[in-house]
Amino acid sequence: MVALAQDRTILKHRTHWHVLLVHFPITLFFAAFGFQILHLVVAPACFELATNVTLAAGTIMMIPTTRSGWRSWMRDYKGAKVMLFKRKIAIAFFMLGLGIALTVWRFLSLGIFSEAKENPQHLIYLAGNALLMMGAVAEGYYGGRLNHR
Amino acid sequence: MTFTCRDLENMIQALTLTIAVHEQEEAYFRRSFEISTCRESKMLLLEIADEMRSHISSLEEKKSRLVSQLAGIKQAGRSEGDR
Repeated sequence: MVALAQDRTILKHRTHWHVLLVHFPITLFFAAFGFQILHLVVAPACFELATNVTLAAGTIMMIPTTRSGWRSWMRDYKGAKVMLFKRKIAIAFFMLGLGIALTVWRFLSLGIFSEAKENPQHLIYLAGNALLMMGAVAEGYYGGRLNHR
Repeated sequence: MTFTCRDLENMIQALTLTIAVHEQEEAYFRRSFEISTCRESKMLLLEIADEMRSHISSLEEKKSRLVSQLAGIKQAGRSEGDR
């Protein structure tokens, strides 16, 4: 049977906001950690500023990412209470809380532009950034297990 | 029966996720069926969606059996504990 000229096959995809958004905090937290390491090893102050900016951006992006993840869980997975989602949700809220706390603390205690080299607080900052990076790895790992088994 | 609670919980979780993923696929084919105008494609899209629904029903049945088994084991464990 030959289709009429106006007949069309339309494959109706949906926009999966969480999949789209989730790459931003992962990349930004990785970058924040990388800049922090560069700052400690190579020392230029610009790397400290780069860390501050990427950390703040990653934390801001965590808000829509967590929200879209929650909505996707409720809508696409009907709020299934399986271990994978429990871990993903717990890690996401931990990262969101840590990101906000670390950003606020960094900006209040050391300022946006000031360098914290030789300051013991630097280690806390590094540890926080490392935890956020590990959280991003864990989120990626569990997210991958959801669709690539 | 060799299933332990842990085995059953793992299987139920795996099935829950698989059902959810398949339901999304089914919804995708039904959406496409609804807006497509090519008759041949519509028939095929609907057929695929219906086959997926049938597969999902089979998975749900398996899950339901496992849930019952788990409840039975837990109930037996509680009765054992009460004695």
